[in-house]
Amino acid sequence: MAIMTPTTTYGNSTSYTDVFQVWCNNGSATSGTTTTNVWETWITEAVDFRTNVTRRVETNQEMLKFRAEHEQRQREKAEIAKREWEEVSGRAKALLLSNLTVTQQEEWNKKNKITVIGNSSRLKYEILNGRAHNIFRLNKKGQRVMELCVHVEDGVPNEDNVLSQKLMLENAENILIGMANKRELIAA
Amino acid sequence: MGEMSVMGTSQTLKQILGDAEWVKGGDTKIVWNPAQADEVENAHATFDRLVGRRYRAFSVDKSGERGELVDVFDPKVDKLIFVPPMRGGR
Repeated sequence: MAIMTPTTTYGNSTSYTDVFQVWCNNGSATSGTTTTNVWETWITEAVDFRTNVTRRVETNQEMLKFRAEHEQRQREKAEIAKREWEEVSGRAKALLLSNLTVTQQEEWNKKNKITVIGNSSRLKYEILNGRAHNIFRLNKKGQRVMELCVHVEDGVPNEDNVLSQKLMLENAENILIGMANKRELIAA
Repeated sequence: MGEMSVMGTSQTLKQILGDAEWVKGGDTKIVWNPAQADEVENAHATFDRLVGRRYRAFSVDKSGERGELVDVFDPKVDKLIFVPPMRGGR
């Protein structure tokens, strides 16, 4: 390949010079008043470029390795958290079932809810498996007439929440009703 | 033997009960022998600590039929369940 640049102009005639040929022969290039040793500059820059690329590649490899290790740690933490939560939920379910009446146990296993009677009003309530908006006051026909929202702190398994709601309704109904957010429902 | 089950998050239970009694994962059970003064004293102290943190104690029977909200620790009670503080939702 030759890159020709105009060097001299005489009238309409222009002579061209192959820059590379000149550089190769002279080993230097002159621009204005500065003369640079072309090969030395190129070699220096090429070495710098290669060093930078190598560093960048090494940095990228370190980043990829770091990211892979981070993701692995996250996966392990998630797995541990999952196992712990399964253990917590299992214990909560066992505690709930051991404190339900036989009728409530059957109801829970079949319908995932229990029916309790308030100790003050003697009214029936349905407690669904859940955390919030899961208590319903029933009328004599068994229809839902009021929704109650009252629960324990976040991070507690639903089964513990349901047991707490049951114990409160069966033994301290007025305290629970006093705390609950209530919503009247139109019976179906 | 008396037994108390304490529900709540791991963090809260660890904070209230301390490392010695806190069991990682789920409700924590504390048992005591009514004939052993030191065990009764320890259970009593735990009861007071929980009630002081707005936990409610219910004395329950094995069948799940009967329960009672209790304010004072009775070492002769068979089984207590502690309900964490509750609050109304939206």
